Amino acid sequence: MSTSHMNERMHQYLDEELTGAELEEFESHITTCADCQSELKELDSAMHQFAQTDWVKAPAGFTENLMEQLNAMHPPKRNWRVPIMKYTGVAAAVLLVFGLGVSITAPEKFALQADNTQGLVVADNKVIVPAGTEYNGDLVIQNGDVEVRGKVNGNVTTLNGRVYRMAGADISGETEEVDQAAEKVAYYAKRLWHDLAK
Amino acid sequence: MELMEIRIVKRAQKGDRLAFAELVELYKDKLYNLGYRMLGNPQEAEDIAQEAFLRAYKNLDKYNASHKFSTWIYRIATNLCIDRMRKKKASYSLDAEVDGIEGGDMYTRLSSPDLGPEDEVMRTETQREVQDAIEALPENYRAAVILKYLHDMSLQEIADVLEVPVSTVKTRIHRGREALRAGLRHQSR
Repeated sequence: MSTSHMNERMHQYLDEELTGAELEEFESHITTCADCQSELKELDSAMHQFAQTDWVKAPAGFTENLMEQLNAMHPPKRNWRVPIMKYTGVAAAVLLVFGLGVSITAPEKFALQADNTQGLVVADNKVIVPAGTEYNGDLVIQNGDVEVRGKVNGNVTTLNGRVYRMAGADISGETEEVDQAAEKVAYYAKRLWHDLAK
Repeated sequence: MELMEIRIVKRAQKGDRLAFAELVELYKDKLYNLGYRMLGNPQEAEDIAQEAFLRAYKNLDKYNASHKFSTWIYRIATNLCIDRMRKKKASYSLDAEVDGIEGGDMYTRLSSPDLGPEDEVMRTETQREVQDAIEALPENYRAAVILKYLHDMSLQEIADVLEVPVSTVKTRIHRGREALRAGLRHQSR
């Protein structure tokens, strides 16, 4: 292979690094020097042929094979984010349907749920546990208040109502006032869960 | 395009396999082609591309978004190719001492006798001559010339991939061009 006196310049020219006077000088030299001309032509043609080689592509199924191999080498970690996102929607739907059901079935009028009504005074949307009496069991009052003056051996819960503890009141269980619709749903859910657990 | 890629890379870094598969889709042909031109046969090209992706997956947390992802993945693949070429050369010269070189040149040695469909590309005389000329280049020149002329990279990008100064890339490309010119000379008449 012959390398001319202008070899360095030639590569600079091919890298498009010559500008201005250098470029002009080089181009005018090329037109007059046959050696340089043929050398440049050879280089140009070689690189042209080279750049023209086929663009071979990865075989079909390359990605699938690779991902399979990857999963075998590094078993995927359980990604909780995705299932949680998926189930939030389901949970919201269940809650909505359930909530609708509750608000439809939940009575709007005063109601008392108790294991027995012995010793209880019911008056004016109000349940009274009189002083000096002892009530055994849970009390659930819907859309009404409860006034506890005596002793309750159990839980007292009001839905849309207040629990008044008067002097001498003694409630052994939990006292709960459920006002909000959402809490009502939660209450029913809790009760349902409780019933199912039994 | 760039922004989309950055987002895919971020998702892949968080462990999203589908995002990684997208990156594989984006780069599989590029890495395969690089391997094919560097090593000269489809089987090794596939091996190298696969290995490069597996390595990239393992080191994904080390990738730093201040550099281009393409530079990073090309660097992994190029290094693997150069390593393999060096090993091959070592074992080849060892073989050569035993059974001589009469068996044929590097190219006939590397290609299997049963040519698969991928080998069709090599069938035409010119294609084969070009590939022979590429394979006659030392690995460093080969990488620089392939990245520039087949992968359309700028000198700066090539310097980043090969982790050498731009001036070194220039020298390698100049020498690569001279070698290719010598190898393909008779064609230019």
